[in-house]
Amino acid sequence: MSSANRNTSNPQAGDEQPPAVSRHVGIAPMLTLIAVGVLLYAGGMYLDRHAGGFRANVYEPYRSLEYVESLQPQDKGDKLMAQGKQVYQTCSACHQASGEGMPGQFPPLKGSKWVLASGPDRIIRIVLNGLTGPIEVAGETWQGVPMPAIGSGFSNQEIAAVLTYIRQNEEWGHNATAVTPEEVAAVREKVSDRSAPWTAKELKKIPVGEEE
Amino acid sequence: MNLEKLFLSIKGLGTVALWVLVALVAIGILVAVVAYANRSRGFRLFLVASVTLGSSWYAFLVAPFQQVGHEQPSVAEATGEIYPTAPPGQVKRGEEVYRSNGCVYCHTQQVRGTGGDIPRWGQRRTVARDYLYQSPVQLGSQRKGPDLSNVGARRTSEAWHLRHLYAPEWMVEGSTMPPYRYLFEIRKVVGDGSPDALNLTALGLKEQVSPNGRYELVPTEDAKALVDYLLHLKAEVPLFEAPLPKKQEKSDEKQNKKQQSGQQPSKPTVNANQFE
Amino acid sequence: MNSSESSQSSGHPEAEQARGQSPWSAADLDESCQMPVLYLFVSAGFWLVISSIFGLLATLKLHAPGLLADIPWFTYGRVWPVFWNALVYGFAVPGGIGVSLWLLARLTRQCLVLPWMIFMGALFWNVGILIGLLGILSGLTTGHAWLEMPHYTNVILFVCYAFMAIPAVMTFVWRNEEDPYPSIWFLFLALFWFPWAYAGACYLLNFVGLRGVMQAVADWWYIHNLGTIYFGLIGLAVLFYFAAKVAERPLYSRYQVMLILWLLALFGSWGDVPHGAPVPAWLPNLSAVTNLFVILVLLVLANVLHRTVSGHYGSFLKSVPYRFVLFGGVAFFVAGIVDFVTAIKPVSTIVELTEFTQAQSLLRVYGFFAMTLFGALYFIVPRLARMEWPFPRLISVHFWLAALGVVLYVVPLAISGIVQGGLLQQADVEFMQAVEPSLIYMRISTIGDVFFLLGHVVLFLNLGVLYYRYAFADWVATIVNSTQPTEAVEVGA
Repeated sequence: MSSANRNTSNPQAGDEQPPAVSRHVGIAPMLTLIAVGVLLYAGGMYLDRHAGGFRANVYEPYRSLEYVESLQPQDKGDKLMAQGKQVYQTCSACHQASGEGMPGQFPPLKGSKWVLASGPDRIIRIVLNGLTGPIEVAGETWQGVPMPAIGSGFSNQEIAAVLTYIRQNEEWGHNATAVTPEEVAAVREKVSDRSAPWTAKELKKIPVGEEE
Repeated sequence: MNLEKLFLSIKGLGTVALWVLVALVAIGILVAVVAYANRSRGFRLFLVASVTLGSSWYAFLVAPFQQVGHEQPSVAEATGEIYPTAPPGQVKRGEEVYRSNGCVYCHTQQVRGTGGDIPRWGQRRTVARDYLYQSPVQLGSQRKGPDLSNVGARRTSEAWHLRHLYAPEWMVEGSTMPPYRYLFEIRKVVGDGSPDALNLTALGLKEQVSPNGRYELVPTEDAKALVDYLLHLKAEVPLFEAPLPKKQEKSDEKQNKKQQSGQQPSKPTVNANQFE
Repeated sequence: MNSSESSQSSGHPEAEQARGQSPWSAADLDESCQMPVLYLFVSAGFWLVISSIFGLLATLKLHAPGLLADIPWFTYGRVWPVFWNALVYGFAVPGGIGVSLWLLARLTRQCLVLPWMIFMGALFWNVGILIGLLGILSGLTTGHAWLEMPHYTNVILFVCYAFMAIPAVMTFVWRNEEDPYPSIWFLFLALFWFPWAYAGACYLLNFVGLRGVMQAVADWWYIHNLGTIYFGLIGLAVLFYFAAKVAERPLYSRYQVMLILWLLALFGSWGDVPHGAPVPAWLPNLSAVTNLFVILVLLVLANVLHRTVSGHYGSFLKSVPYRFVLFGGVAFFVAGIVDFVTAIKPVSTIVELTEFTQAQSLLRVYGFFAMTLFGALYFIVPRLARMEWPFPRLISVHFWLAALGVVLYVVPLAISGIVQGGLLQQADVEFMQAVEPSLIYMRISTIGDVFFLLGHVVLFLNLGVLYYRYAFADWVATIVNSTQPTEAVEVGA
């Protein structure tokens, strides 16, 4: 530690002056400035194309919000089906989740010609105002519990959804046309002055689609 | 200030112009401050450091935080289904086991939109919303083993996972995963034995562990929690920012079929899914 | 020891008057650094050996997954982060501080202020590392890459860093050189960069608890700022110092060096967000664009270094410490080019999420930073301790082990990543089918680990024996001497 061994023959001991630095400017800063400009432009163009407009909901590999929107499920029926499944929980108390009803009390929806009719005009009425009296479903005549009017508790959208659900339920083997909220609205308009439940006889008079 | 809104409001100028504008303003501020502070070399360097670090801090932490830091679970429009939901306690415990044993060093939890990831690891790419309830977020950076974002959908058997944790090479040929035998215990059978006990014959360990059937191999609570966590890992629910590309085509096909069969409504297609 | 104290007490004179002409000779400056810097180097060497033992253990587990698998403390997922944290926080950061302190004293021509404070900081830093690594082994890891140590060690490390950095800043402020050599700019910036990035990331991740994927973003930001900027700044400072020294020429263009500093600080810190990451598309793309700018750093740096050294490249080979620095410089360029190429989307799609990323980090942290640091260390230590290396021939052995180690570790892992990533591009390839052909390369990289371990043992042997002679030999001799006379007295009586 003493100054005596300060000058030991160190193999790497060069000059101990701090190194110096030249004050050339050179051409590199100018070139760099140009390069930064070019890269800023190129980078800006690149980001314009690939950064998804700096949106929070555009991820790789999608390009823009419009593109992501175009990829959303467009099939309205699918949305109705999903909503209908929710709404059907009200119906499943009687008609059961399987749609098979309860023998002697609640008629089945599965395979029912009332449900699978080519047009929805009749079942919309049943849902809106209820049904009473004997009705023939799946080869049996049902005298059981009358169906209450539930139309006032649900929107046109929800009724359309649940009807679409029972008409198109693949698990039941159903594949009838979808019901639109507009159709429900039209029927609701027509029957707005009626409060009594429907009977099967009355319903038979109402035409369903082109078949009748 | 919301970056997204800012960019949108000036979008008419074009991104390039915006870049130049931002750069000019930034340089202007810098020059002014530096000129003011020119008396001290150290302070000038300090300013350089703070401004540059601050810029990256803003661009890479503040701005993304404004965008995804407050994200909420998605609520499906039609069904009201919420995704993702807060995981139950057992799953949280499993997440702790996953973290403390450093599973992240071999397993990623991210499905990219490219690179063959989607058919192999999931239905769709993963997005920020998938990780809302994860902490720590175990994205990982290397795949020495498979990606686990959707392992709960891919491997649904609890027994398989437990056996795999105990003896990976027995379940997956050529696996380099270390066995996690310390998450299990071998103990004497009491009464009818534990309902969780592993099937020793299926593991080929009957002879080794309990030739006379008096011992059983039982997972610890940690092992069960870890498996619950793995089974919970699913990123399949379609989100707005991550639609399902495959399903889209499928539903198109379905629609076409419906239109075709719609002409003969008397022939319902039973279990149409089977034929697809 | 006494002399260092005396120089410390007179270490901060009326600096205003002294500016321009330093009252200190190079030997005085060295003496002021002696105690803390040598301690930092020895402890860094120690952690390096620990790190490489765990690194070797981790890679051996790829050959035999069952190795030590029944002990939770030695499962792969804990051994690996211990390897990496010991390398980064045990070796790289304190080693970098040690080199910074010495360069700072030499280039500002000011004796290091408050060396005892720095020594205490370094001492407790090592305690923090020990606690942190034990924490990881016992399963208390935070799960955030590069920040695995439990949250309380963050506080220890941060406070200890402040103990080391505050005297360094004071040394700079009381400098005797009005316009110091450009290396000082880099070191000064680095001095602030680490605590900012570290405190920011730790605060966000371990104390506030960011929600969801923002944790990963904060982690990437931190890794990039530490790996690219902090290590880059210190490594480049060392490079500039040696470039002028070896070539015996002034460093080319003060202004271009300043340009490098600005470009690196401005564009280098803009994250390292992978393309496939589950974050909005603009984030990885912005990150990739700024990565393109970093190529400018390489271009200007190449210009500066070439114009400084051209015609004297041979001088780098004359002495082993210079060879380390040369290797580090080359690795910096290779790492920069690799980063540039992997920022391009089609390339990153293949290599990200494979071993390639590991090869990339190691090339930067070890191939560039650690190698540069070794060079500086072999150069500085004999001057500080005023004694020869105990085993001078082992320096060359260490160089070859480390250089071959880097090549044998990085190249096979990179190939493994490309093979695996390439195969996984095809959707019909099973995952295990893609792992199998890449596994052999991962296993080859074990040779690299073995070389690292041997090299580090060699380094620690040199450092340890030297440190013993420096710090304890006198003390031991005194004890021996003081006991002998008493015996003599007894015999005499």
